[in-house]
Amino acid sequence: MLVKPPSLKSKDRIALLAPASRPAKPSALKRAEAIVSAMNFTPVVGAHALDVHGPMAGSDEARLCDLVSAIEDDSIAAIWFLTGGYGSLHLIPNLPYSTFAKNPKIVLGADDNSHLLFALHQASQVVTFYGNNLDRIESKAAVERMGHFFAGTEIEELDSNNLNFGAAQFPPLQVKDKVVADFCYAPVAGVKEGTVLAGNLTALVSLFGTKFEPQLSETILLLEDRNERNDILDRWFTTLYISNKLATVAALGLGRFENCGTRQSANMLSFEELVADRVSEINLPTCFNLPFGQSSDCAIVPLGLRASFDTAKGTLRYLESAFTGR
Amino acid sequence: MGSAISTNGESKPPQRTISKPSALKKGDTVGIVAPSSPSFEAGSLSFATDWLQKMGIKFKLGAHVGKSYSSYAGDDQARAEDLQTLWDDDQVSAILPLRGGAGATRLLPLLDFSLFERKPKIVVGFSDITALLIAIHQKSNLVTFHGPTVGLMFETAYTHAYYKKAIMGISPLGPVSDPPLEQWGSEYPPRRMIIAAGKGRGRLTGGCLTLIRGLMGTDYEIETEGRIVFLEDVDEEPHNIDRMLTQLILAGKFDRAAGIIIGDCSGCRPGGSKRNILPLNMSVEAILKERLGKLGIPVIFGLKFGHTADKITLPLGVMASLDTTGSVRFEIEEAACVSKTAILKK
Repeated sequence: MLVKPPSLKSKDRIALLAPASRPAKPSALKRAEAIVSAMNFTPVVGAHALDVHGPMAGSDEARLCDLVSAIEDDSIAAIWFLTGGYGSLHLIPNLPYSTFAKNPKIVLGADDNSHLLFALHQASQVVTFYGNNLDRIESKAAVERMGHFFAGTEIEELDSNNLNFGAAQFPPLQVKDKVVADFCYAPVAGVKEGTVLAGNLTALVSLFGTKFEPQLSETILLLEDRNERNDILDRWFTTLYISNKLATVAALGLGRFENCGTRQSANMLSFEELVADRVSEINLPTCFNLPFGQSSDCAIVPLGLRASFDTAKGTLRYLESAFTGR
Repeated sequence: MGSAISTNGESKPPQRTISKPSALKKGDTVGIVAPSSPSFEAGSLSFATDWLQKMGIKFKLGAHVGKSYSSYAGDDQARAEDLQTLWDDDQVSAILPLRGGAGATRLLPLLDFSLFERKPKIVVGFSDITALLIAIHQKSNLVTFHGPTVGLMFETAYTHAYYKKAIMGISPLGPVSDPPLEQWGSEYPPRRMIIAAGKGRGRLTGGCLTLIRGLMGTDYEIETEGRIVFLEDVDEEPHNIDRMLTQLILAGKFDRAAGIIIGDCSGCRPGGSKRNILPLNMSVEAILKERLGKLGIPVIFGLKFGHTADKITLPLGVMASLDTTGSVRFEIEEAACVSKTAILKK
């Protein structure tokens, strides 16, 4: 049974945490606090956010302590990650999954934190949210959008040509009624319904073979990545393909692959073409270039919601609300 | 392919007969294929074939070896066809991939593993070829060889000597020795840094970590129970090494392993990948101590195999032992090949 977190009211406390890498500099924390305050919520920075242990913001124990405290503390209404990088994979065996299921709250972030979003969603059956880490909030519009998101109100649409969905179709506290591709390329066209699962491709494959591996069957699977070379992305996509799990997916959406590409290799096609080969073979409806990923203008995507995906149009419509009422 | 669990709760490795290929000998013919990437310059093949000639070995070339599709040597069908056509060819005694790169994993769903089981042959490679070595070893119950591709088997005297001993010999490789110390200059890592002390004995398996990670959650996932697992990579960020090891840990892959041997891992320093660089880092050595140091099995770091000029040829599926309680002793106890006459006598 899917559990949905409540949306926030003004002055609610949001924990700002670094379960993976450390924020780049102390002022990044001040900036994050200012962003959350500007939304009329109360920022609560994790005690260990500026700790250092290799690439991570402190030891596994320190990062886990901040995350577990925020999940268990009833005065914390939401958890928003400060930055990605690396390290959240270490924490997933020890999260308080049953507490989280009983006391769900909004958990939002991207990049390496994808491990946490997948694991918390899968093990606790709670809706979690793939959206910008705090260090990728880069405009006033993004601050406003995020404020609307936490408050559970409808968010400005990405495509002004497609505003006229009947409001009655959508329950109140809708995250957003649809995500529309910037420039749609659908190697396989189709309209499919399914449960949305969204995240970082590298992180998804890192959970393969473990007990935290997400169930992909009948999902609308949305993937993104960053700073990777096409052949490496194709490696991880190949894992999805040869595991025969890609074939069980209802439809596939590829988001922004920021700063990905051939990266000085001698001879390499685009990731789109390498993916298109595979999805064509198994006739999997697929759309490229959805505004989904890590940058400031990307849509927030809830893991676990029913949605309808039209790959030819590049539109993803949610069929239910992401939040419970209060 | 589940493991048998005995009544006292101790698990045992899957019981099966592993077949061995017959040793390559002078006058034999090998098949050169490109299941991964092509040589960017087609002419680089001739140096390898000159070396084969010097060894008294004839060769046949896969029909599509010179092809190119993205970073792969032709499309998946073409690469799979070359591999299987030459494997099926009774004149061919060994399959020697030209090089690694990327793309071998893409072939796995296209392969007929019964062919490799019916006609046991030598297959040698590393890096991307790891996908074939593990899949064929596990699905076709065959000893496969983690060693130089045919384009690299002559890189150093050490590499060449182990290569020949492994695929042209019928006795065990025995205690593994290191390449000679260079007279000048320093070297890192040391060849056998002890990460965890202990003793272990089991069949060998392993290869390139990136490839092993890519097989997780698939039918070709590495079997590590009761095994000595060797792992290495090249040009990866330390945190990527951590990610891949953590995935194996979370999957329980070291819970019942007999030991772990980490290779030299050249270029696995911050910035080495040119892709995913983080501002703060931990060395691979420190990561190994943190992640693998308290598993209760012997672990060493620095052995020369995989992406180094000096490399041992390690046969997947033969018995080996690792003792790190004093000076490190790593011994390959069992022969990897049988003699052709021995097979004929059966």
